[in-house]
Formats: sequence, C-alpha cells, structure tokens
Amino acid sequence: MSWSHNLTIILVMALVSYLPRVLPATFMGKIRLNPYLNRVLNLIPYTAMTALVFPSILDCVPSSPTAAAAGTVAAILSAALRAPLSLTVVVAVAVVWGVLQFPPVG
Amino acid sequence: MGWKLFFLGMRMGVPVVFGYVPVGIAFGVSALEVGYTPTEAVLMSVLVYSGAGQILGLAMTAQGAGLLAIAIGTFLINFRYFIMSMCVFRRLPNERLSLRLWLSFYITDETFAIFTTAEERIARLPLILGLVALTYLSWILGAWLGVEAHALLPGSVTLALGIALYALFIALVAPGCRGNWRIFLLVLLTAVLNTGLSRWLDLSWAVVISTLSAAALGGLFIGDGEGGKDRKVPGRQAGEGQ
Repeated sequence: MSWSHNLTIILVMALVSYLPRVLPATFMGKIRLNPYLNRVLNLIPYTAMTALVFPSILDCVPSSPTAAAAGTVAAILSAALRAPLSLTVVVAVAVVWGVLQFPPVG
Repeated sequence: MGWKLFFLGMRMGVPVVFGYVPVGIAFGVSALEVGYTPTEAVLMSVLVYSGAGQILGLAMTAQGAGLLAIAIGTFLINFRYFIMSMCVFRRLPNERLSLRLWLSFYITDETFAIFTTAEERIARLPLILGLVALTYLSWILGAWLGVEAHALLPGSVTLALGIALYALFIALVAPGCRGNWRIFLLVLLTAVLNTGLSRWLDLSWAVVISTLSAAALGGLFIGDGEGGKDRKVPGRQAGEGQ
C-alpha cells in the first residue's frame, strides 16, 4: 500500500480521536469542567452534524438537485417517524435512486 | 473469576453490536464512495474507532476540506470522550498507567454508558475488557462488510449512496430533536447559520464556525443533561430502533 493523502488524514484523525480519550487516563478526577462548558460540549455533536448536512446534502447528487431534495425530505420524515437508523439510510438512498431512474417530468 | 466477568462484559456488549455493524457497513460503503481504498477504509475503523468522527471525516474529505479543518472537526466531535473517559477511569482507580493509556482508546459512547452504569461490584477491569473486545471487533467487521458489499453494487445505486452519510447524520440527530424542542431549535438555527455562512466562507470553515458558535449559544439556553446523559449519542446507535 503506497502512501496517500487519505492515509495522512487517517493518522491525524486517529491522533485527535485518541487525545481526548487518553488525557483523562493520565490525570482523571482532578479536573472539574465548568457547567457551561459541559453543556456546550454536550451540544457539539448536534451542531457539528447539522452543519455538515445543511446545505451540503442538497448538492449530494450533482446531476439532480431534485433527487437530492427528495432524498433529504425522505430522510427527515423517516427519522421523524422513529425508523431505525439503518432503515432511514436505506429509505433516503432508495428515494434518490428512484428519482434518478424515473425523473419527474416538467 | 476474571473470565466470568470478561464474558459478562461481552454479553452486555451484544446490543451494541446490533448498532455498530449496520453503521460500520454504511461507513465502509461511504468510505469507498469518497475515494478511500478498501484497506484505508478498514484501517480508519481500526485506528480511529469513532463512528461520528469517521463519518465526519469522510464528509469533510468529500467536500475537499484541508487537513487542519478535518483535524479540528474530528477533535471537536470527539471531545465528549474526554468527559466519558474521566467517568470510566474514576471507576478504575488502581489500574497501571500503561494499561489505562491502552484501554482509553476503546472508550466510546456505548462502552462508557454500559460500564459506568454497571453495578459497582462488577464494574471492574475484566468486565470492560470483555465489553470493548466484542464492540471493537464488531465495528471493524461492519466496515469490512461495507467494503465487500460496495463492489457488488451497480453504478446507479452508487450514485444514490451519495446521500447515505447525510441520512445517517439526520437519523442520529433526530432522537435528540424529538426529545427536546430546544435542541430542535438549535439544530434549525445551526442549519440556517451554516447555509448563510457557506455563501461567504469556505465550506469546511463555515462548518467549524457554525458548530462552535451554535453550541456556545445553545449552552446558554439548553440545561444540563438535556443534550447529554439520556440522548442517543451520535455516531453509534445501540438500541435506537433495534
């Protein structure tokens, strides 16, 4: 396997994923985070994922913004209806695939 | 004696496997979509071992983000492990430093949740070793299955799979939004903010800025525990919908 930019990305990601896990292993118990910071940290997964989805999701099928939009609506509906995670993924992909196969006339 | 706890830990990890394998498959398929080789895709699961972090890494790679932006994004989304790791090691105060350094790698949302809520008398080293052994292997197995499945898929399906990552994120954010209208509001705000910012800024920096500023704002009006303890933690879905 030759070296690639992706390998560099993987190693950097491995490092920044290990860092927050390992630090408390060395000096755990001695720190108290201030409650505000604690709340912000709890919210970051939500804001990070949302920022990644919007607006990029609308460009996820370069050839068909309609298919991307239909898939977005399908994913939101499926998730709102409490479908299991993997089903939501399958539904979104299926809707995009369907719109690509049978484009709406107009 | 130790082995009994080890196998008990494995048994407690079984529900997590049902969450890890499908997400691992979605990750493996998406990684190839984004241009990672099969080896690189599996290697990422082996070395990074963070569902949300890896998927975010893929999305940022797909968007052509730079190394620094990817590093910051991954660090931000994984910073919650800092707090989880503190809780885990509070329960293992007497273990050797070298062992703690090694074990900390395997802390995830689910292993943290299961280990720190286990009864005091069983929350010992063999238990967490059994728990992480099973869950870690199932995460890698999922990525490998995804990589294998990818080759079997026709081109039109591959094109449609471009939405898989995003659908996954939506599904991961949804439980928190349903449980708390303030989080729903914050998610809406983040979407609007990032859509606006990305018109003026490079997309990957818009993402970092929206992530931080929205969370900083959310911290002012969303209370303790609301976004935290009982949320289905992004990246892994043990139990959600299973």
